[in-house]
Order: sequence, then C-alpha cells, then structure tokens
Amino acid sequence: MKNITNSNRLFYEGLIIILLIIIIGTINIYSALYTENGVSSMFYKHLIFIFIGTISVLLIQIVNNSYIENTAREAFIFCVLLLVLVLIAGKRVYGAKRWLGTASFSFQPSELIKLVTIFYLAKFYRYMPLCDGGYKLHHLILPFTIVMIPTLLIAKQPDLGTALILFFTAFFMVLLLGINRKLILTVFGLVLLLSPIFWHFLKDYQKRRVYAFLSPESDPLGSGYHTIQANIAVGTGGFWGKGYLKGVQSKLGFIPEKHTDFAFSVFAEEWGFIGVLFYIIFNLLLIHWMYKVVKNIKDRFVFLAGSGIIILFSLHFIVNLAMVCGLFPVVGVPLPLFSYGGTALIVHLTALGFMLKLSRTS
Amino acid sequence: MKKVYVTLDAQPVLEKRLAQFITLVMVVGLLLLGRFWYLQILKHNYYYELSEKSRIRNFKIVAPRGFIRDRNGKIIASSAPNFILEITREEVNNKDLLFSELSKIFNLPKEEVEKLYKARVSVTPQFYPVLMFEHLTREQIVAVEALKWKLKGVKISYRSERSYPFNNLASHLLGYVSQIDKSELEKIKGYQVGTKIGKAGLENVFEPYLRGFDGVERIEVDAYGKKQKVLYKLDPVAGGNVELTIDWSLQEAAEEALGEKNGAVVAISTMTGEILAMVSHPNFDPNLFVKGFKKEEWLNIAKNPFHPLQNKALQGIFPPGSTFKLVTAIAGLEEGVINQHTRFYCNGKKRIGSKDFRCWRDSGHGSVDVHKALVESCDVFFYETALKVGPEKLAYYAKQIGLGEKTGLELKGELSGVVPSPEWKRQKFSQRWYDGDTLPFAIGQGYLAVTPLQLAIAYSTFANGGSVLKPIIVKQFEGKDGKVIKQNVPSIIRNVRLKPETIEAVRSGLIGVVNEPSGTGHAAYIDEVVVAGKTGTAQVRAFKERVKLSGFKNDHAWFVGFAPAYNPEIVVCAFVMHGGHGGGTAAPIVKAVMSKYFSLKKEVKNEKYHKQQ
Repeated sequence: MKNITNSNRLFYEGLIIILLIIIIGTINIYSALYTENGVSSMFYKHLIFIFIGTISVLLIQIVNNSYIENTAREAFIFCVLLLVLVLIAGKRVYGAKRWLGTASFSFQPSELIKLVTIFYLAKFYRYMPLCDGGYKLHHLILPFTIVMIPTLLIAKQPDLGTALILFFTAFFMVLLLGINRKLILTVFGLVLLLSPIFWHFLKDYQKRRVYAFLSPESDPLGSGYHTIQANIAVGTGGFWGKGYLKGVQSKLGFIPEKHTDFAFSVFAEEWGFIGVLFYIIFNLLLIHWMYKVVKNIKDRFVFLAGSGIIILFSLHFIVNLAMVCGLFPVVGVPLPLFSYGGTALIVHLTALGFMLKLSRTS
Repeated sequence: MKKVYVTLDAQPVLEKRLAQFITLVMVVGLLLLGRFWYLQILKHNYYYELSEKSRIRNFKIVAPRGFIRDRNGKIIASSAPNFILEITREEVNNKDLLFSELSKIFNLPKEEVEKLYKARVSVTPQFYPVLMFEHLTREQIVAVEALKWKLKGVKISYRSERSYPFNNLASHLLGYVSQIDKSELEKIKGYQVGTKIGKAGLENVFEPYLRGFDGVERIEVDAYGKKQKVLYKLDPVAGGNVELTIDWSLQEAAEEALGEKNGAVVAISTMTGEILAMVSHPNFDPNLFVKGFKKEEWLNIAKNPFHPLQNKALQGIFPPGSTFKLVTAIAGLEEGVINQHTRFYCNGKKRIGSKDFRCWRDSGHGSVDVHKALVESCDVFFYETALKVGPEKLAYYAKQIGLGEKTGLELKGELSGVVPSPEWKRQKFSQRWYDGDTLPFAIGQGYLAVTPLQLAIAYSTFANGGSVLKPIIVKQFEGKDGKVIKQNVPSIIRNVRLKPETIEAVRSGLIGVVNEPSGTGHAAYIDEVVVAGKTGTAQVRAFKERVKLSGFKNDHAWFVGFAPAYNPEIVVCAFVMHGGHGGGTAAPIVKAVMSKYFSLKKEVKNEKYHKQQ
C-alpha cells in the first residue's frame, strides 16, 4: 500500500513538472509567434503537435517495455533508412535537408532517431557484462559504428547540432557502463591533434559560427550577429523582464530563430532573470525527477533507456541555454518542450511519457 | 590480463555514475544561471543601450525657412528640395564596399569618402544618420538606388533648403545662408550642427524671423531597418516670412539698367524712406553659398578686384562729385551769402594763392546765377559760394541733410563716410584747414566721401522738404502662423529747416539739369513726369597700382534724381565706378528706373479703374 502511494506521488510530481514546462513553453511560443496582426498560424500547429504528443504519451503507457526492446533494432534500421531517404528526397529549408514530407506536413527523422538509438543501445548493452577498468577499444568498435551511421547521416544534412547531441548522448550512455580512462584520454588527444583536419571539412557557415563564438564583436552584423543579438535580447530583459509580448528586441527580427532555437531569448527578454531562474529550476527539477524514477530500476534495458533519456534532455537543456547566453557556438539545438518543432515536440513528449510510465511501475 | 565480468553487482556502479552525471548537470545548470545573472543584472545597462542603438532611429525634419517677398508678394527667396544621402551607422554591413561604391558614384577618391565619413560621424549625435552628400543629381540618385540591395545603411531623402530663384539679382540685399560654423555654434544658442544659417544681408539680419525650428521623428525599426512605429514626433515649425519694401519690377529694371557696369543703384520713396530697389554690381549667386562652391566659382568671387560681396550701395564710399552742389547751394542760400539772383563770373578757373582751381569747362560759363550754376554744373560759382559760407557751415549742412553718417538701414556693414571740416582735419592730420581745402569740398571732391544710399537720402531730404528719413527695407514681418506680427512705419530722423525760397531756387536748377537743353543731365529726361536731378563726375585720385588697369582710369559717374519735381515720390541714385561722365553713364540708368516706376504706377491706376468699372 505504502509502495503504491509512493510511486503515485512520483508520477504526479513528474506530471506537474512536465505540465508546467509545457505550459511555460506554449505561452512563450505564443509570444514568439505574436505580431501586431495577431499570432502566426504556427501557434495552432504547435497546439496540434501537443495534442498528437499527448496521444503518443497515452499510447506508450500501454506498450510493453519488452515490446520496445524487441523491436528496437528494427526501429533503428527503419529510422536509418528514413535518414537516407531525407538525403535523397528531403525538403530543403535554408540550405539544409532535414525534413520529409510536404509543406503542410513534414517530419524530421533526425529527431526520432535520437530516441530510437537510445532504445537500441540500451538493448545492445542489456546483457553485455561490464568490464573492469572500463571498456577498451575493441569492445567499442561495434557500438561506435552503430551510432556513427545516423550521426554521419544527420551531419550530412547538415544538422551539426542534432548530430552532436546524438553522438554525445550515446557517448554518455556508454560512459555510464564504463570506458577505459586511457582510451578516453588517447581519443581526446587524437581529436585535439586532428582538429585542424576536421576544421578543413567543416562548411563555411559552420566555421564562421565558431569564429563568431570566439569573438562575436569582430563581425557584429555577420556571423557574430546571432550571439550578439541574443545577448542583447537577454540582457535587456533585466531582472523583471519587459513583460509578456513586449519583447521588442526579439520581435523586431533581430533574433532570426526566435520561435525555434532561440525561443529562450524571447522568454529571457520578456520575463527577465526572475523568469529564467524559475525556468532553470523547473528543468533541473525535471532532470532530478527523471533520475529518481530511473535510479532504482533493476531491469538493465529500462535503466539504460531511462538514463539515455535523462542524458538527452540534459544535453539539450545545457547546450541550448549556453548557446542563447553566448557560452556556446550557435549549433541549432532546440530546447525540449520550449522550441517550436513538431517532430521534436512529439518525440520529447513520448520520451517523457515513457518516464511517466516508469514512475508508475517503479 | 584480468577480466572480471559483473552482471549482478553492476547496478550500484551504474546508479553511482548516473548520480555523478546528474550532479554535473545540476552544477552546469547553476553556472548557466550565473551567466544569465551576469547578462541580465550586471550588464543590463550595457545591453539596453546596445538595444536602443539597433532599434531606434532619429530623423531630422528640417523646417522650411521663411520666404522673403517683395512689396507685391512676389517670392524672391524661397525653398527648394535638397536631395541628401545619409548613412545609418547601425545598418552598414560592409563599410569597405560602401565607401568604394560611393567613391565611384560621387567621383571622389575612396580615402576622401572615408575621411568625410569620419569627420561627419564626429559631429553627428547618437542614433542620427550621418549626412554624407547633399544636392544629389538625378543620376546620382538613380545610381545609389540601383545599388541599394548591396549598400545597406544608405538612405536618400530630401530636406527643404533655401533657394534664390532670381540667382544674382538683389544678391547683396538678400545675402545668403550657409552651413553654420563652429564659432557660430558656440556663440548662438539653439542651433545644431549642419543647420544653415543666414550669414549676410537680410538673411543674416532677420535670421530670428526667418529661421524655422527643425522637427525630429524617432522611430523604432526592425532588424532590416524597416519602420515599425513612431515613438516620438516633433513637428517642424516653419520660419516666418519677411515682406520687403522692394518692388521687384523696379529692382529688375535697375539691375538691367546698370547692366555689367560696376556700381550701385538705389531707389527710395521720398515720402516714407522705403527702399524700392537696391542694386550693387558686381554681384554673386547666393545659391552657390547654399550648395557649396566649386573652386573656380569661388576664385571668380575672391579674385574680382571690384569685390562682388561688397554692397556698394552702403559699403562703398566715394566722393560724390557735383551731386554735392545741392548741399553747397542750400548752405549758401540758407546762410544768406547768396540769393537766387546772386551772380558770379566764371572764366574757367579760380585762383587761390598760387594754385588754380579749374571749372570743368575750360572756357568758363561767364556770369552765372544759382540756377544756371546747377544746370550747367559750374564749379566756380560753388567755389565762390563755399568761400563765403565757410567749411564749418558747409559741413554742417552736409551732415544735416544726411551725409557722413549711417542712415540706419537694417543691414550690417553700412559705412558712415566722411564729411570733412577744419576740426576733422585737425584731428585726422593735425593740419589746419586752407581755402584750398574748401574749394574741392564745395564740388564734392577732396576728403568728402559718401555712400550711394546716403546721397539718395540727402536728395530725398531735399525733395520732401527737409525730413531726413530712416530708410526702411522691410514692410512687415509675418509670424510662423502667417499673421503679421510687426509692421515698419516711416520714421523721421530729424527735420532740416529749409526756406521756401531755397527750395524753389534749387529745385528750378535741378529741373533745369534734366529738362533744359544745356542741362548736364538731359539723359534722364522722361515724357511722363518732370524729373529733377544732378549729375556728378568724381575725379579718381590716381592709385598707382590701379591705374595700370584700364578699368580704373575713368572718373566715377553719379546721377541722383527725383520725380515728379513738384510733388516728389521717388528718388533714384545711380553710381557707376569709373563710369566717366555722370550725365552720360549714370543719368540713363536713373531714367530707366524712373520710367519703369511711372509706367508701373500707371498700370496700377488702370487696374484700379477697370476694377471700379
């Protein structure tokens, strides 16, 4: 009896945090899409995405974990094929092929594969014994190959942000299981050594973004533009913010991706430091709640999948906020449940739905 | 190699590592919060300012300057659009490209454009666009507009600017406006850099009436510089209008009559002192001051030995020659040393000591009375008169009638000239006065120096019976709302008591000058009315360096006339530098102005008559 109450409490705690974050995100997207002529129709699309996401949350409650585990590999292969399809027949927006589908309905497989890869890796390591002193190189070749296939396909779109998130989510998952320290240091050293060669393969706009990150003021209207303008928007917010719908700096077009990757700059401008404070606390609470859900799970597959989702949310949260406040180069990483984007919203809601299911049964 | 495979014991290890990861995320989360604290609290003011810079634009709305009109409402100084090119600093994305394109369009070296930009930036207030080029031609506007897609931050707009539709006409009277300079900015309150301010002539004197008050529009723009909304707007207030006493038709006639000759023409109403026309030549185009000179245009003015910027009507002092005989005659008659019947014999010269003072006619005029002396301009008669009157009295009457002092016209730079006297000579040269000084004085030579305006006033004093009038140039001022705020009324500086006999004797002489066959000023004769007047031919003292120039050899020519002789309305004074004989060069100018004046009067009468019908 006591157990049931406890897990119920955990479930409701998560539900409240998730709802709060969705509500704040939706209110902010309304503002980001608001003009003097009313709100953009994209806002209503966003509401539809929330609705679809909610259905997905409900669906995943009745799906058996073992079913997910059993179909993980097939789902992964299916998603990889979709990524290949994107490169062949994808929709091109701003010079990048990231979407499948038509103008009215499009779908971003790169968002879906983040979750699918987590499940597949969890399945991969389910029966894999740990290695004293961490895994060595020969243990890692196969999982590395598995992860690199979608990572490279996404990087080719090009969508460096999502590719990095995918790669590092997988990396941290394996890190939980243990990687040989020497190996990490060697790889790290090698990457540092070879970085000039990687640099050579970066696209021009990616190079400019790195330059801009290193010194945004050197080219204020060029590549440093995003960073400076985002800093201005955030900075003008002050302590109390400018008030809802009054964020001129983001509204007047100074922030180009104001409803997607830079949605948080709109929020920071309008709600000020006080709003930022609460939002960061809610997100840290969400991550902590997920940790509480996952930490006692004995099923290795479920534990790893849950941990993977925690890592995914943490990376998104940190990278996006760091980007908005100028601590990280502009790499197009959305903020879960906050940035506009249908596929991402549905995938993230589904992931949280999975966590809610775990919170009921743990 | 020791390999330990753990399955059951793995759980605590995994939990521990997950907890470590979560801790790391929490710490990073707090660091991010710190960064937001830094941006939003510590650097708030800095970013607020940056935001204003990228969001706010100010635009100056230049107020139109008031019009200057003639007495009939004809606009002689108006406003015209001036197309300007401005740079909005915050929007410029590629300065290098911008400067090189502008250098092509405006035909300037790129470094010059850059230098200009830097200089202008240093005087432009924050959030205002930087004014780069003015008076764009149609071709330049087209070229800039065609490049707009790649020249970000460039804006073409237009401002209202002073324009003088008649170019050189009445240029000395109107003066000009041009860019306010640093010393003026410090001295005069309420002006901004780049404002155009009246610097000479009426534009300068009546600056407070004519100037408008510039407005400003503060707008909010989006990232593309597009106007979003008006945050604040101060409407410009147009300047007030000034209506002159000048009759533009008469002014044009006087300009035409003087033509390319150097000198001045002044026409004054003898009843009111209103200036009806005022010409000085050589002149200049005031529009050039507004637009800026090309080098050769400026050299034309700076190197001209006749000083085009000088208004000779009130800044040129010259000996009046025989026109001064009016004063000598009045002094003699008023003092009773002669009367209308007094005769002197002229044999062509008057000997004082060992020196002969010649009459202009070597053969002499024989026996002359005051009438004949004026008509034929006999010098000896006035030598004799002046010797009897004495230099003190002559100087007294000269000053009384309006010579040797500023007339008080509301224009800057008027000179008072010189009316000599024994006292004056003692102070100036520490020398006593000789009779040899009196004789040239009597015929308007020697130390005596007057302006054409003074001479016109002197003749108007005689014509109206003895009232020295203050010359008026402005009829009325209209306020910013168009209502009349001030009207100038005629004012008398002093009255000179003249006996009727004096007036009669002198008037008949002056009438004879124009109307008798032997009169020296017959060239001023017109059919419509009786014109009275006096010629003058002032000898030019040989300035050594100037004599080389042929243009400086001749004597100065004068003619001053008034009409109608028995009921005078207008006095016209014509002065031609080095023009030769007054009767030959100056009298026809007066004639042209007089006939224009009376034909205009007739037109007005006819109009009135037709209206009544």
